[in-house]
Amino acid sequence: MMRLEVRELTAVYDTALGELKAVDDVTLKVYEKETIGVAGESGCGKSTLALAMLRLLKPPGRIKKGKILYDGENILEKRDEEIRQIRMKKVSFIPQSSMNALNPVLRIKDQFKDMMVAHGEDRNNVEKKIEETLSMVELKPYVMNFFPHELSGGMKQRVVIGMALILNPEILIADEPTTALDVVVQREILELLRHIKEKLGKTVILISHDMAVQAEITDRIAIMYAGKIVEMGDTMDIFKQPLHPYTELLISSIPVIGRKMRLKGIPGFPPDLRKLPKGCRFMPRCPKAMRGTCDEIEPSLIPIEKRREVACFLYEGR
Amino acid sequence: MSELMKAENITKIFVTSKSFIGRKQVTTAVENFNLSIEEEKPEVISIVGESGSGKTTIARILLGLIKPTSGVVYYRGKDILKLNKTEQKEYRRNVQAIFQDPYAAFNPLHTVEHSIEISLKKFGLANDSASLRTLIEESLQEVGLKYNEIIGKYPHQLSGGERQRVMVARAFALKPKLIIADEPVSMLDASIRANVLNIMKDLKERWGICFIYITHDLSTSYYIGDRIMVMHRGRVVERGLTDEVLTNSLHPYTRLLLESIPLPDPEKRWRIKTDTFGSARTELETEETAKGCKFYSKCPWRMEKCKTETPILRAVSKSEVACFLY
Amino acid sequence: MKLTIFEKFRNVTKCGKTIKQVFKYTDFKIGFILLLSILSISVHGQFFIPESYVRIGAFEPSQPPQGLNLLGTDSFGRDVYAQLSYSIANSLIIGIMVAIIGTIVGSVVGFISGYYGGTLDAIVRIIINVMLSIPSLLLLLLIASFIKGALDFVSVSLIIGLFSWAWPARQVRSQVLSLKEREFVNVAKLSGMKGYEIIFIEIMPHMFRWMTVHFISTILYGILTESSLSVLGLGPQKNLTLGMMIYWALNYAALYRGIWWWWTAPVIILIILFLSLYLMNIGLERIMNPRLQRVG
Repeated sequence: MMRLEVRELTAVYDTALGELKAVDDVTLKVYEKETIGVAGESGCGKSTLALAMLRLLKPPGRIKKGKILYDGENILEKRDEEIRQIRMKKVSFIPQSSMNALNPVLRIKDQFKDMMVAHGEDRNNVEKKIEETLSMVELKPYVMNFFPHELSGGMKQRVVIGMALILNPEILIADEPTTALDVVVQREILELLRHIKEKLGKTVILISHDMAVQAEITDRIAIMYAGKIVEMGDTMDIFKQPLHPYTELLISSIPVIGRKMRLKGIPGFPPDLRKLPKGCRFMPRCPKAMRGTCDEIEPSLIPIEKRREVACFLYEGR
Repeated sequence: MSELMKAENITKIFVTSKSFIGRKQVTTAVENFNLSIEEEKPEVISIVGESGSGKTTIARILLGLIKPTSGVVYYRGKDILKLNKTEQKEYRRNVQAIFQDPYAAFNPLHTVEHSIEISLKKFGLANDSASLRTLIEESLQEVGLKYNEIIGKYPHQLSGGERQRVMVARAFALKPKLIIADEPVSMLDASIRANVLNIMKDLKERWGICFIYITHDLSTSYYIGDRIMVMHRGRVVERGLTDEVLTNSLHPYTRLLLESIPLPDPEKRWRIKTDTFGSARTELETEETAKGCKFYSKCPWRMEKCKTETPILRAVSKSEVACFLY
Repeated sequence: MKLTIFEKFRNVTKCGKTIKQVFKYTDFKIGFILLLSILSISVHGQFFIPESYVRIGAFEPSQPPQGLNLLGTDSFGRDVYAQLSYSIANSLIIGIMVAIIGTIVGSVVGFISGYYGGTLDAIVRIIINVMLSIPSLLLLLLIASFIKGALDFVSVSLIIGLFSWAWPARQVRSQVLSLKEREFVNVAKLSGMKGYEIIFIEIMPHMFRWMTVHFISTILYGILTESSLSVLGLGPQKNLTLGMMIYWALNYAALYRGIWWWWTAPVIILIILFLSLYLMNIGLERIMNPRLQRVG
């Protein structure tokens, strides 16, 4: 069953030098209880997509066109109060560097309280819920009396995940939840996210540039480049046989212990979104670019197999 | 063969809070750190550890930016804190650095080549604008950047990867003998990391430059490191050749680190649950335990001995480990 | 790519851009125009009106504005307009001298103390705190009344300056304390730069705009304080400043005797001068802040 659908969404930033299309005509379907990853380098639009999905885009960013349907209803047409009912209660968000988003002068329990009251909960009944949530994220209840600076990075991240879960949303959007965390803590947080998905049946949208992280916990992945989705499919399939050259390079640029071959890395730099090249956006950096085709028209996302889509001329006509 | 640089029993203690009454609160960032680098032997030595392991502090001590509480850093046999003016200049020129944050490392009010220019002028490598230009061009070329695309730009006009490459160019321009790279790729996207790591590898092979590569990422240290030192809370717990340490790891902490690396292969997902090791759940900002192994609380193989005695580095098979299991 | 030091300075501190930008603000423009008008009065008066007009007995005393005397004469028979021209210049000079001592000396103290730290910094910090907690006006009055007769331009500027260097020193110092921890300062050290070079080339440009705004507001402060001292009889009696003009006027009962042109002229000019510098400062300050927000 489809819970969240992004349909032909275009989100732009108005800059002094022109309109920057951070998300360009993106269509994404998120099904119940799955963990779907959105991968891509910095600047590919994945964070903008996440913010747009919650209508959190602030000027100079705005949604130019498209629909975002939650259980069939387009949230872009709703009023502000209605959106507030949806945010955190049906769809919640774990922002980047969220550990730094905790208010340093409030105790943890007060931060929970503030958020819950803002969403209509009764101020006096919250403590029990906070306790339950803290144990759900594997923290001892006494943590709620501490200030953020008294906790370690991993604990803070758990608190933030707890805050995203406490109003019992069905969908969780996590934007780079493990950057700035050490590798051991990163593993714990990722396992927590997996546990949330399995035990609590939540739907998770994981935004991360790290393909290894995506491989660990996602079921499906959408790969973005310069504002567009270039490949989408089941995680297993994508890693076993990446179709789009960009996906392939993303995966092979990760060093793995035991492998001695020279890493390829991706040559060049992501394009300036205000001055996009003609044709396929990845062409200037693509090792398999075909002159005459790739620099003339933009490839569109076409289904290849049952659960696979690619936007690349190497696969047109299959 | 003579030694280029030697760190002997470096210890650094930071005072975190003072009060008139009661004890001072201290943090031992680094304890009894030893390292020796030989001349004419270009290699990459990785120092691996999580945040709080002391690795950045070591970098700063080796660079002479902070003074150790005890212990000495020798450059070609002389204490770096006691060098005379000429020796200091030579030391500065031969020991350069690349920092972690490609934004903070540039002064936002100056163009990106500003620091390269100053370095070249200060060390007398370029006295007129023509030679300055040539040298800068060469350095930028070495890291895969085009002179005309970089000169005159301000830091915010370049991407993280480009800025980091300019940083490498700056360090390289002086043709140093040693470059200390403190988490040079942590803030870059995975795909850009490979490029910068390859540049560092090439610099070592083509120009014979030694690198001390500081990171929390074992995979990258495997990729470019010849030797490796694993640190935990200020102490070196295991060290040896990279291949050996990472494929036949001895210390429980090294094993924990290895276990926690996510692999870009969905068929090789984590199997062992983290409960085997104690976790961040119960860990608050902890106080100092002067004696005993600092990994005690998380070690699945801990013994009574580990609580009260401090393990020291000892040679075991092909590496050195600090653990009572051996 | 050879740039002269001047061009480099301009680039780093972005003065060219700032100047262009600041002229877009109405408040700055008004302030600037007012300042120019006042300056032109002063220039006109000093170059086109004979110096003899300021001497005692040059004209019929206490005459209202008429004929040669655009603003009338005072009780000594001196032309008021001519006096005004010299007063404006002198007041401004005192203001500038105070600003130099205050902003520039104060900033230098802040840079050195903040960057080098240690015992020097500890001592300077104490001195700054002491200077800031003293009620300056009272002390100024005390000092001035002690040296009463021998006060001139320079000593007045020095005394007022004494009480205006502490605040910029503190502001600059605290900024330096945080800036010196930034990574680019470490890079500068590794590039072989010495302490004073790092201060001047890497750190100072960050403070430049603030220092400019502060410089102008200190000119204001200097002029006002000097006027206050002068009106109370503690100013540079041998010189003509706006404050001194008011002093003489008050002392010779201009108010009661209806010689309004004598005291209204300096008062109005003072107010306009104040306004002009203040408005210019507002314009400059506004640029300082929005600049921090850049669309990455």
